[in-house]
Amino acid sequence: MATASELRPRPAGLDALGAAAVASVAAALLLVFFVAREADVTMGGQLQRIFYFHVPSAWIAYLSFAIVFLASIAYLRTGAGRWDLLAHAAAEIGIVFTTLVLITGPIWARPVWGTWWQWDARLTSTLVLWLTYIGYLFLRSLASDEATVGRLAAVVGIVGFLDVPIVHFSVQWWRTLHPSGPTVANPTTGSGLGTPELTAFFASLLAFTLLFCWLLSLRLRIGRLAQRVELEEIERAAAETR
Amino acid sequence: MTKTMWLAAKDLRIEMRARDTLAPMLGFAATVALVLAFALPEASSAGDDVVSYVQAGFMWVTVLFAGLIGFGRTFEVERAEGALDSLLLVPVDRSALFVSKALSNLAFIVVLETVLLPLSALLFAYDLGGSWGALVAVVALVDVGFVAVGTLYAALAAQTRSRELLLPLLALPALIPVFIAALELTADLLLGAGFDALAARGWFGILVAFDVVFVTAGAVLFDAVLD
Amino acid sequence: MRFGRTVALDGIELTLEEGITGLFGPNGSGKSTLLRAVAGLVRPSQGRITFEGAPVAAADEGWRRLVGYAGHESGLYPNLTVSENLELFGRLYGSNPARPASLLSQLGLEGRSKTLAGELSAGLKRRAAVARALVGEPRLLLLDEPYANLDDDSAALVTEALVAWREPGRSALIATHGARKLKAFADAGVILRRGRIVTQGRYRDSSQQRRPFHETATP
Repeated sequence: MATASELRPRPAGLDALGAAAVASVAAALLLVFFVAREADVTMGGQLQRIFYFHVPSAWIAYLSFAIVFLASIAYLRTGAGRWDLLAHAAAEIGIVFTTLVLITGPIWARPVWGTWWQWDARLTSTLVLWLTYIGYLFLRSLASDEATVGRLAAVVGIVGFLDVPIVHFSVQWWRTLHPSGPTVANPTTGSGLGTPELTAFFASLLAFTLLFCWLLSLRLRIGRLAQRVELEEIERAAAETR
Repeated sequence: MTKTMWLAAKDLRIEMRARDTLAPMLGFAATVALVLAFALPEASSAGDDVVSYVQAGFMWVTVLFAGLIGFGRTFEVERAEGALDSLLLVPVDRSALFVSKALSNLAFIVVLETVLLPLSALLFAYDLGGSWGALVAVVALVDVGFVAVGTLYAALAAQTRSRELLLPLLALPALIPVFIAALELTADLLLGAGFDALAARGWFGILVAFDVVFVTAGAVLFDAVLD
Repeated sequence: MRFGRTVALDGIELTLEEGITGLFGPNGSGKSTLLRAVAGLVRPSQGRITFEGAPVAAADEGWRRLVGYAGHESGLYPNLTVSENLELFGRLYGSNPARPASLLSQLGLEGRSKTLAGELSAGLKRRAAVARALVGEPRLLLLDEPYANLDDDSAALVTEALVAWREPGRSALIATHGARKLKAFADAGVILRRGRIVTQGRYRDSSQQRRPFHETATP
């Protein structure tokens, strides 16, 4: 009978992915700070560079929650634990990236708009998204019964994601009816973005994507190991009662 | 004195182990703050109409919270005496169960609103502009979406610890579109808009889309929630 | 069958034939778990249930229609009267409208038919629960301790109701501590111990057509 101490060492592929992620982040940082030109003062000058991280974080966050959505559906259809694990992992990592978006946004906003927070469409939708998946994680930790956690979480994973476009659209519509403060144009598009800037942007996007894949793989590995340990403990307990 | 402190310490220690009260409370507070942020508009954006927006906000916040507490209760009904087990064994489609629960919840909400709306109009001197038809349309569309999400999530939360905190925590972010639409349309009504003006605002489309999506989702997913 | 780290049922292979089978065993032997698993209230970690050769699952409405179950709790709505409860479940199971009334009299509940189910004494709740399980004329009846809290007269009523319900094509699995009461009229018996079947056998020979009901559950 395998013991918990015989855990497989990290596969080489995973470490390579990690190295690639770190390298691409370093490259992106270089490009963002030294290759992309400084933006207009109205856009925040040097501070505008934060958008090279803000926007990719947002895209990756949405990607994560799309994964939660699909994995939740797969789990409800097949009942296979690996989909539940994927949904859980993607939700956790998605929250991390969403939090990054919510932090980088106000950091930029404060000097440029003079206020930490604006109820603009994108930030508000991101906040709703964040709260939805915080709720998802709370649900997972508060379920009374191990067996039902996956099912209940999957329902929230599905409903939450279906809500996202509706929330986004309604907040946007609400905002156009009640404009306040400076109008928020996306500072990374439409204002003279040349090749150096685009290169920096895509480098950053690549870096974040690799980072996401690496973190997700690590989290999945941890989850699988935890399941193995639990299974072995159950088998040990069962053997004792015989 | 020390005995009191010991007892208080006991509660704190239990919470540190169980972690099912303080953290959800914070989450709940965050979602409430979000909802209220929509209900209380910045004075600059609303101008003189701010009073109408605040009135609409009060009304719908009340319905929202009373409704959610009520929905939570309707699943308590099943817990006593193991009636839920009997219900699950009955040869009835789960979607039908969802619709039955949603209908009874809808009835509760309608009764609530029937009492609340005239009462608020009286106490706070609302002027609903005589466009009762439009008001009914708005309330009907909002209620359907509210009840669909509320029923589904109430059944879900009933199977967890801290269900009184978890239900609003989950439902409020999901209900943001309905809430915004309700606020906007009601505020417009209070400002004297008629049915056509309301329809032109575009909120009906969002409400209908929301209702369709979530009634369907509820009917389909209720199976997964109950099992 | 496992709950977390507890193994409740282990290697159960059971063929239920027509008639009434008693399920005996000490506390904690897994009787309730077995009944709940067969009813479909819990999913076995491993195993299948087949009825007349075809696999069935709790998700099939057609299958649920054939099963009657009464667990430790009464399974009745406390704020509805006994008649209202029976009528509700009668309708949901699509049974004959006269059935609730006939069950009320069979189980001696007519006097209390207008009482709220939550206000009944323990013994009356038990009888009402059995009535609810029988209201759909189930082909598979699962009862967990139907004789608990019953005096001899009430117990006799339950026995009569069960005997009246017993027909070709119907099977029952009844868990009880009162083995003697059940053995007087049961057709077969199964003894569980620590989640395993220790003995099983028929008390009566039946030459009628066999309708096997088969469950296999492995750890």
